[in-house]
Amino acid sequence: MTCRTFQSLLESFADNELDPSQVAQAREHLKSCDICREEYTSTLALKQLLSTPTVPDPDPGYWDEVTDLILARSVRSTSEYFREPGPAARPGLFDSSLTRATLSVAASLAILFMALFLGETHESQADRIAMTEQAMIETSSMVALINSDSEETMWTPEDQQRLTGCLTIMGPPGMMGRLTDLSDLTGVE
Amino acid sequence: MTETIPELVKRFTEGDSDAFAELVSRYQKKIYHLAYQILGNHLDADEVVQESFVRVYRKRKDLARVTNFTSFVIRIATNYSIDLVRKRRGHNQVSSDPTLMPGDVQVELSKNVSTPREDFENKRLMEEIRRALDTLPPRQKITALLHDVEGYSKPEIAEILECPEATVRSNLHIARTKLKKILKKRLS
Repeated sequence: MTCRTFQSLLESFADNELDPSQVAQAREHLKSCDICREEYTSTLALKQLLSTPTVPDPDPGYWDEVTDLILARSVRSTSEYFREPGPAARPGLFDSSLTRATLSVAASLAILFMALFLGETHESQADRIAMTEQAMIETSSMVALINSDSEETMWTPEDQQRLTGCLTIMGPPGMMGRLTDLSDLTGVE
Repeated sequence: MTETIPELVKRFTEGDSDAFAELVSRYQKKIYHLAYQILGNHLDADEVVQESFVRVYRKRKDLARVTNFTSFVIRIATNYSIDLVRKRRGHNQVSSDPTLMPGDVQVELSKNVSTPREDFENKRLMEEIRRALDTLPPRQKITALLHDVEGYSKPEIAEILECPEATVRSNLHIARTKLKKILKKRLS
């Protein structure tokens, strides 16, 4: 066997994959070739070195713990895959087509009544706004009457004095200091 | 009587959760060991174990077409480990302190370590081997680990890595040649 042939078979020789006749030839070559023998020895030594390290065992409880974690992440998270076949489920309340149709009609009616009620409420609000506007118009007429010097006023001087007093109190904040004169102004004890 | 792996796989595909739990129990140590060898620390190995089985579960519908469950599950674990190796490449995982191991310090070279000096020497040797392995591309590293550490045959590795057997032989040869150069002092 030549060195070239030996080198091509070195890995297989070191891994015990050669047939007996090849092994005999390789062994014969090693007897006469120092370089190939050194190469073969270092390959065996490397295999020995790599197989030497041992992985430390984790804590004794680790394996049970990791099995639980794996099952939690797989089986238990998709339990429908392993669900036992149970009895057939009873039809639910909304499974009947008649019930569903009835509920649909009831819902439509409820929406209709709700719309009518809201429309009526809206009309009531419009009425209230109109009444407020009317009251404002009447009030402004009364103020104009109060301010006028007409002989035909409907207010007596006493009435005018009381009204002026009320307006004074309800006026600017500075006028609030005159509360002590309230009875004088209004004529009410 | 202990059920065989094909029997457990059949029950699992039929929806038996106990069969899946049994498969997890039988393969988790093997996967942890492999992942620890590739990644060098407990946390990453733990992640590989969990994620691999979750992926097996998700692919349960494909199991009917799987002929070799062992290769199937090791392939998933290996591919996930390669992803993690690439992800961790940016993070300087190898410690500069020869007395410390990457990740959580749990590795000892032999069970019969008796003195602090021997312990120190073992850790230093382990660190040297890991540094040497980390210089290899992921597939060469995993080929070397699967073959020389975990004891898988070349046809099995070809099935696991989904590549021709010639590629496995080539990767193993290149990996060993590089490792022999890096670890020359240790091998002499």
